[in-house]
Amino acid sequence: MKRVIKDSATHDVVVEATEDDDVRPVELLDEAAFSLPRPSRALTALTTSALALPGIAGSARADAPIERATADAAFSYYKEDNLSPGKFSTSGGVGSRERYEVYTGQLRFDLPATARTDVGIEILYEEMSGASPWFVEAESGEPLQVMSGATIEDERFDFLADMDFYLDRGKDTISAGVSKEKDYFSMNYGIGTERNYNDKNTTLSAAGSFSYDWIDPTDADDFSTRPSSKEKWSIDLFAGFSQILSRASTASFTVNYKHSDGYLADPYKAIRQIGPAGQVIADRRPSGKDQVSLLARYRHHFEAVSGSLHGDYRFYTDDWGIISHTVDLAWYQNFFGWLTITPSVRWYSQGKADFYDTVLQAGSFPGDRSSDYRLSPYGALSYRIKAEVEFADVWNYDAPDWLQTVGVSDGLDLIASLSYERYFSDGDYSAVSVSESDEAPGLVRFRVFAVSVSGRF
Amino acid sequence: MKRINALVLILVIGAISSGCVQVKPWERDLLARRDMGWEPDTLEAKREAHIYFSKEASMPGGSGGGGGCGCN
Repeated sequence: MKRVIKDSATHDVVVEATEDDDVRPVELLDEAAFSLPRPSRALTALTTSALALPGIAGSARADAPIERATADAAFSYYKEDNLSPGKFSTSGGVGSRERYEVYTGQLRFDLPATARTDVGIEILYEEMSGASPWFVEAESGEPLQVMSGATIEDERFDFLADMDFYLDRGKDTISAGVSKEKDYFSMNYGIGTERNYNDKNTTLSAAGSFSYDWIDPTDADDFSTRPSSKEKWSIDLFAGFSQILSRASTASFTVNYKHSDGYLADPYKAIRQIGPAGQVIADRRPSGKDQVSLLARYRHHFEAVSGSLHGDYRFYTDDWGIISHTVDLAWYQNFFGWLTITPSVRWYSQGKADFYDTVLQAGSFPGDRSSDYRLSPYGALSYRIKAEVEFADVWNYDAPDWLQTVGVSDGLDLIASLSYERYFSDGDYSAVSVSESDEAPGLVRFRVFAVSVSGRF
Repeated sequence: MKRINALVLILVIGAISSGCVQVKPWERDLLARRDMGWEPDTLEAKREAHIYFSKEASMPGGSGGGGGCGCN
């Protein structure tokens, strides 16, 4: 039985089924007499399970060794709305309403190393500036946010390397990385594995990662509530299951468990005790934390309209008392084969941590306490729009032998995209009603603009 | 208790799936589409996961370990 599969706008590959239910090409186009035949993406795609769960750090799809070197670059700009004057406390005399602004550059390379191994390298650099929430004042009953001065300027550098080892029925992955900010340093390691069953209709995966972080808060001497030199470590375990449901649909279910130990508070945050002798005391959180995340994902392609539906639901809970729900829906609409427009919407709802409060009552001095809005009860809604174009063989060249050994072939496929996101958080978006005294005045709203370019060489 | 329930769910789904439809390799053209992947754009997925992780209380799902941050 022969079928013609469209590889891209211009290429066709004719394949036929073999006796052991695999496929073999009958004709391959672009095969020059003296160059290695470049396996078509369609052929490679057909013989993989199309189910590979995103690895610890590797590319999103590959569960067969990649044939071509790929490079991805992205630049994004993140900007939070200024804190509204109605939520801003001027009682401290300090503080700016201008919140965070972040410029981020990301780069990723995936290279075939041997016939059965791939190597990935990922680099991130970002610059952050702006004021951030410090503690909450309850002037005349209504909680208002006290902000730091707009002096927080920081940069983050992140480096990650990973290797995939491919086996007959799956792959193993190892990774290692470091992350550095002015006041922070983190090292992380991970291992993972994936196995295919039922003629690659089913994939099981498991992974574990470990991270050790050192925190050295800036200006610790200037602030009585700010600690110096703290550490923490965490271990993250993952198990996943994915299944092809039909020619046009797949589903996956994953579980994550994370245990963290050490200094887990925010050194730049505090909480106010109200009352005549009330003080502003340091944010303090338990020295251990257990978290569980369950994620269910569904993908369905509608051939008649050339569109794909993505639906994700995540349930989260931890032993600090927080429960959250996330629903993410996206529609990928294809036009002319090379243009994809993707609108998407996300709804998020979280409950509060056991030790969260906007302010502490007079005389109250609990062991654990935080006014951090990120531990408060609220909901969030965000919408995104993305446009992506894909051009196969946009440029042809003869790659020298030494480049061919790292997977660079004789053509360049290019993918470029632009996206925009708008995010709002508010007590009203929560699944459960939030009282006025509980709603954090510092809830955030932001925008993200991103542009990206990817090349398959 | 919740962790045990999750594990049982995985095992049950695994048992059921072995009886599910088997899509042959030459029938997987639609599944191989870029827009049918779990995360078609890896860098975007990481960037978004990092933003939500920094600004919300929850942990991203999926096997992402990776670096933390001193997020404020």
